[in-house]
Amino acid sequence: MRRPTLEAVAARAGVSRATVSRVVNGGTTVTAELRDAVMRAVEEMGYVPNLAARSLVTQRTDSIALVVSEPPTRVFSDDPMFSTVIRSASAELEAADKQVLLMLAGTPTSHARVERYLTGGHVDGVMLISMHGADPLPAAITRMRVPAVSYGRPAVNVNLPYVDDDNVGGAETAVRHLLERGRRRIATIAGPPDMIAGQDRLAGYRSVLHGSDRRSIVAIGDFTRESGAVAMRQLLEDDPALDAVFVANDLMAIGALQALRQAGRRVPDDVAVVGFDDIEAARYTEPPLTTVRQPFREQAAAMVRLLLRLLEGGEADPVVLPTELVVRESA
Amino acid sequence: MRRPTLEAVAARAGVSKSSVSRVVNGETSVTPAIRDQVLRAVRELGYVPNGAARSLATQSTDTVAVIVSDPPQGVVSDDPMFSTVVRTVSRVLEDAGKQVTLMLAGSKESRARIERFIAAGHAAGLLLVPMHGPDPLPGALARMGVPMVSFGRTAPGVAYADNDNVGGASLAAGHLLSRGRRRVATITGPLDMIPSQDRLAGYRETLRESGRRSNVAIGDFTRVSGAQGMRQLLEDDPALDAVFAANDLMAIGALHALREAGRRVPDDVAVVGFDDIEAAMYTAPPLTTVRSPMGDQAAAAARLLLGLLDGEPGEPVIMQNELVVREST
Repeated sequence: MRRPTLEAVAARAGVSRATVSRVVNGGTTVTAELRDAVMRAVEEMGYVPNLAARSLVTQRTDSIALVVSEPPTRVFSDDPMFSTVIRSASAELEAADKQVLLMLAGTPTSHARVERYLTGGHVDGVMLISMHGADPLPAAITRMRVPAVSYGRPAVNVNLPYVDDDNVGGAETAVRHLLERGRRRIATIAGPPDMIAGQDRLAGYRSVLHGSDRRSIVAIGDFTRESGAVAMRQLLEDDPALDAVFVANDLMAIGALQALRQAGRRVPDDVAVVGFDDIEAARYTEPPLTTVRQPFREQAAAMVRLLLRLLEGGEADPVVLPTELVVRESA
Repeated sequence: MRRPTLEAVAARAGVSKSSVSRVVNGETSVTPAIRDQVLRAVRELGYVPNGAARSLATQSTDTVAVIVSDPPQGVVSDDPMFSTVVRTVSRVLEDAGKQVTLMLAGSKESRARIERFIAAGHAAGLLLVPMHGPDPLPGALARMGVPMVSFGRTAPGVAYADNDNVGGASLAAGHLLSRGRRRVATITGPLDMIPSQDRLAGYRETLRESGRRSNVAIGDFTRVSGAQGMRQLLEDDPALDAVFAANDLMAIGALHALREAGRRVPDDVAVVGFDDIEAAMYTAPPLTTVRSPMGDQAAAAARLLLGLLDGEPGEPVIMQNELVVREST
């Protein structure tokens, strides 16, 4: 297919080349009438402006890579964070007139591909959602000198501006709530130890219990519903007298509720349950879940603002957003 | 920040400019020793090859746009379909060496933006994920002549991978009737979406064949709409003894409303959903549902697009559903 030229479009529209160029490049100094004539000709002829040439001149691509790096085992979990964060961030970026390139980096092969792409000058900046501590990508990205921000504090010590929520503080609030309700044997289902959110929420749980002279009772999950159910069964075996559990995310809390139901324990009468995140599903559990609200959307928006500031050459300090306890019926 | 030049990299590595260029462009006609030297210099200097210049030279594009025709922010924010479908198609397309651009079409402005992007030739192919309607986008994009596949049937002439929505809904309604339920209601998806229409049609046909009356509430595939739909159905027909919800999220909302109304599931009211998302195993009681092969359907859509890009014909793919019986019926 031969592509029609700018000249051909100008001839068809009966205007000058400069006018076509201004219209195609989004200039506003053209009358509506001329603009319509040009756009009609563009459509009729299937004219394609050469953006590659344009970005050669401006040195900008107006594209942002949204890199999601997750261990291959979690790829098919349907955690709501993925869609909430990606949608919020995409909407914010599009509002800033940036194009979003989604890149999944779960395997070493895809890591290499992502690195090649990012060093290839195809994007102006990077937003990284890295989900596990052994991930080499945050360190690799800081070496590339591409403006980059991270969703969540990176698990390794790298110089990457990030947006996170107050995981320690949120967990502390949850556990204090259980203590205030008179619970004495408070267990926790922690997230994976190689994820910052998992570590921090466990630290918050431990610090409050430590201050109250109560014993920690810990089972480890991997943030999926199924792991929450398995961990809850294990906790009931380890300490049949437990009367509360703080679960490090809502998906695992949903699994824990099911295990408690199957074990014949009533919630909250026998065992009180608090989750973390406040995903929409938390309102629909039986009974509705008391949880710590994580501001997913605000975090995504803050991450976009942080990156846009970096692109303009500004400084970017980490942002940590507060969490909030949402009391429903499970505790 | 001033970007270091190709010349600077060549000087640092002690090789010719053309060697640097060959390494950076991934050519294999360079010895490993020189390649290592160049890459070390690239890293040390933070050299960024100019991708725009390169794509100007090749004029080829490996980019595939995944377009999610999204409702306005917040309506189905945590819909598991989004993450399953986006992840699956991205993986299949990336494995085939394509670069995925994600575009959300939630507003008039974003639709216009997408049309400009596609008209400008930035994507070699399009994979469309319609989440709601009525949607002018599939038709508009189809006219641009870029190879395109839809996840789920959409505008005429657009290749698609879908599941058997009519058959799946018939399975659900037939199951309720075979359990001896007499007053079987339904909560539909948005009726401007083809899957919603098809699921309603399957329900209606099955009830008509057995001489039962339809009782319909309209939802929009969200949990909250399922709860509202259920409350309305109970008001319209307090004696109903079964409900088929056109997706699992609405079934979860319906279970919630039934609990609040003091109806026991399945004793008083049996509930069937559609999709078999992971959450269906964790409801109280666990949900009987129609398993739609969401991941397989997404992979089939991506493979269909790869075929189109290779010049193959885009025959529609329709996948079968199966009933998964748990405790809600």
